[in-house]
Amino acid sequence: MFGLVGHISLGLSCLATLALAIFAFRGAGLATLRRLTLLNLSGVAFASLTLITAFVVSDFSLSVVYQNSHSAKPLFYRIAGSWGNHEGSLLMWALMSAAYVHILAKLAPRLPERFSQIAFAMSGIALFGANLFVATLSSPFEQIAGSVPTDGQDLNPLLQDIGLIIHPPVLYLGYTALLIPWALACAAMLTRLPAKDWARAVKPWAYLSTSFLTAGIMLGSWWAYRELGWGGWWFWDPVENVSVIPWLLALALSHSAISIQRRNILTGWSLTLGVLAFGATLLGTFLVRSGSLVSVHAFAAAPGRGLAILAYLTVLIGGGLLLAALRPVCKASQDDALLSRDTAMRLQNVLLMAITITIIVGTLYPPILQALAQPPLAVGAPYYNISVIPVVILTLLLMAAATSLSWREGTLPHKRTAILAGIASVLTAVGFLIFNATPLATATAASAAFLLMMGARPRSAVQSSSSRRSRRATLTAHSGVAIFALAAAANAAFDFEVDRALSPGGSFTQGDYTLSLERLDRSDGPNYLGVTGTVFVNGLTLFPEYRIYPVREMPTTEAAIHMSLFRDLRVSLNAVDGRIGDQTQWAVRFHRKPGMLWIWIGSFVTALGLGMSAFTGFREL
Amino acid sequence: MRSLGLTLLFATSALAQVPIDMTQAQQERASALYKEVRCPTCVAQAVGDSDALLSQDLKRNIDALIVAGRSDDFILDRVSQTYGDDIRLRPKREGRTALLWAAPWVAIFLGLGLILHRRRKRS
Repeated sequence: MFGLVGHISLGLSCLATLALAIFAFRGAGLATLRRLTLLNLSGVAFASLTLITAFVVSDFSLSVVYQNSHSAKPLFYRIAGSWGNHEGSLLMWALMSAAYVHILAKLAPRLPERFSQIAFAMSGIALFGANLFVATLSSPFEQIAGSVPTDGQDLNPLLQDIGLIIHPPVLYLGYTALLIPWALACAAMLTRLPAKDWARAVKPWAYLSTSFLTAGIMLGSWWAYRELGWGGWWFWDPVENVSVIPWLLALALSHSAISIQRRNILTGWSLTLGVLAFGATLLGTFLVRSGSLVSVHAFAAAPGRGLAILAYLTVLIGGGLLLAALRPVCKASQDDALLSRDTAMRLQNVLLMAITITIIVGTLYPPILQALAQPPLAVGAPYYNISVIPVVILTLLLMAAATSLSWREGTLPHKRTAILAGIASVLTAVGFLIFNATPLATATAASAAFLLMMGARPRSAVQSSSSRRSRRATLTAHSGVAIFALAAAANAAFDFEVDRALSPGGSFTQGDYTLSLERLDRSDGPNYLGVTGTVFVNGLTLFPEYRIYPVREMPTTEAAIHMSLFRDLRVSLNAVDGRIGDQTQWAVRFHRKPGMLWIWIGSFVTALGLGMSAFTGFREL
Repeated sequence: MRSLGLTLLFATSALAQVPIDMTQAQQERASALYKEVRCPTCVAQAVGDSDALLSQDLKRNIDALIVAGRSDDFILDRVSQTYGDDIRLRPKREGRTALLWAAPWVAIFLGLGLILHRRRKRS
C-alpha cells in the first residue's frame, strides 16, 4: 500500500517538474509556475511522509525498510532510518530541492521576469531528473520479492545516534541550496543579465548554502568524535573531502558576488563558480554512490545508479560550463590599486581554489593510479595536513588583511590595531613553541590570533562603505573561523593519548593522569548488548560503554567525554576480541583533547555569521 | 563452520592485541606513527583511527619495535616491506607522486600569474 502511494506521488512530481520546465521556457506567468513548484513540493513531501510512516509502522514489504530497520529499534531511529540509506537520502535531496525552488518562486517577483522564467526552466530540468531518478532507478518504494519477512536487518548501529538524525538533513540543506545558483547562473548567461543583478540574486543562496554546509559538516564531525572510538574529529576521509569541496566553491562564490556588487569584478568567474559549486555536490554524490570511494557513507555500491548520476552531472554541469565558455567576454574597466580589497578578493579565489584542487587531487590520485595499473598508493591525513594547512594559513592572513583594506584604493591598516594583532600573534606563537608544538600548528595558531585581533577593531574607513548589518555578519563569520583555527591548532599540538589493557580493578598512571577501571556492568538496550565501565580519572568519574548489535554482529564504542572550557577528557572502552564475556580483555583508550569545545563554538559562530549574511542578502533582494 | 573459523581467528589474534606498557616519550612516538600508517583493511584511515583487528596487531607491532629501540624510519620501512607502499598515508616523494605534492603550489602560482597577467593587460 505504502509502495503504491509513494510511487503515485513521485509520478505526480515528475509530471509537475516536466511541466515547470516546458511552461517556463514558453514564458508562462509567475502564478502558473508557482503553482507547479508547489505541486512538485507537495508530491515529494507526501512521498517522504509515506516513507517515514512505512518505517514507523515497520512495513517490511518495502525492501528499503527491511534492509535498514528493525521492529525493536526505538521510534526516533526508525524515523531517522528513513534517510539513513541510499534511497531515502536521495528522496530527501529531492524534497529539499523542491522546497528551495518553491522559495525561489516566492521571491521571483523581485527579479527580472525573463531571467526568473529561464531560472525556473533550468530548475525544472534539474528537478525532473532528480525526481525521475528517485521514482525509478533509486526508488525507496520497491516491494520486496517473495514473502514479507517477519523482521528487518536493522540500521547500521554506527548510524543509530542523535548525530544521524540531524547531520544528513542539515548537510543536504546546504548541498541542495546550490541547485539555485546553478539555475541562476545558467539563466543569467542565457538572458545576458547584467552582472550586478546576477550577483544580487545569487549571493543569499551561496551564503545560505555555506551556512548549512558549515553546520552540517561539523555535526558529522561531532558525531564521529563521539561515536567512532578513535578520539579524532576530522580524518580526511574521502567522503569528508567531497563534502568540503562544495563548501569551498560556495564560499568563493559568495565572496565573488560581493566583489561584483561593489566593483563589478570577477563577473565571468563567479558564473563559472555558480555552475561548479552545484557540480561539486553532484560529483560528490556520484563518487560516494557509485562505489568509487569506499567509506562508512557508501551504503550500497550500485554501478547502474552511478552511471545515471554521471549522465545527470554531465548534462547539467557540462551544459552550464559550455554556456560559460560561449559567453562573450566582458571588458571590465578596472582601475583598482594593487593594494586594495579588490586584489584581496581575487587572491581569496586563488587560495580557495588551491585548497579545492589539492583536495580533489589527493582524493582522486589513488583511484586514478589504480586505473593506470600502477602499484597502489594511499593518501591520508598526513598528506593533507602538510599540503592544505599552509594554504589555510595564507588564507587566514589574507582574511585579516582584506577586512582592513578598502575597495579600489587601498590604505594601509590602522597601525595600532595591526601592532596589537602582531603582538597577540607573537605571544601565541611563543606559547605554542614553549609547549613543543609543531611549526605548522604554531603558525596556524599565530595567524588565527592575528585574524581574531584584527577583526576586534574594525577600521573607520572601511566602516562607511558597507551596511552595518553585513559588517556584523562578516565580523561574526571571520571571528568564528579564527576561533576554530586556533582551537584546531591547539588540539593537534597538545593532544595526549594512552592505550592500555585493563581488567576491572586495574589502574595506571601516565603523564599527569591516573586512570582506574573500577568495575564493569551489563547495560543491555532494546536492540543491543552493552557493557558500561566505571572509570576514575584524576577524581572524575566517567562511564564509557561498549555495545554489540546482534542483528548486524557489529560492535560500537560509546565514548565517555568530560567536557570543560579548555579540554575534553575522553575515555573509550573496547573489547579486544570483539565479544563480551568473562574472559574479555578490555582495551581502555584515554585522550586529553584541548580546545574541543572551541572547535564546535568556532564552527557554530561561523555558520551563524554566514547565516546572517544570507539573511541580509535575502532582505536586500 | 564459518562462524567457528571467525571465533578461532578472533581468539588467536587477541593475544597480540593487548596494549604494551610504554614510557610517555615512547607513547608519544607511537601515537605519531599510528597516524602515518594506514589500517590495512580500510581505505584512507590510519591505524590510530581504527579498531579493526589488523590495526590492533599493527599498532602492537609498532609498539614492540619502539620498545626495542628502533627509529621511526626503520619502523615505517619495515611496515611498508610487509604491506606495500600504500600502507603509508603520506606518499613518498617520487616521480609518480610529483603532481600530488606540487598540486597546491602549482595552483597558487597559476592563479597569481593569471591575476598579474590581467593587470598588465589592463594598463
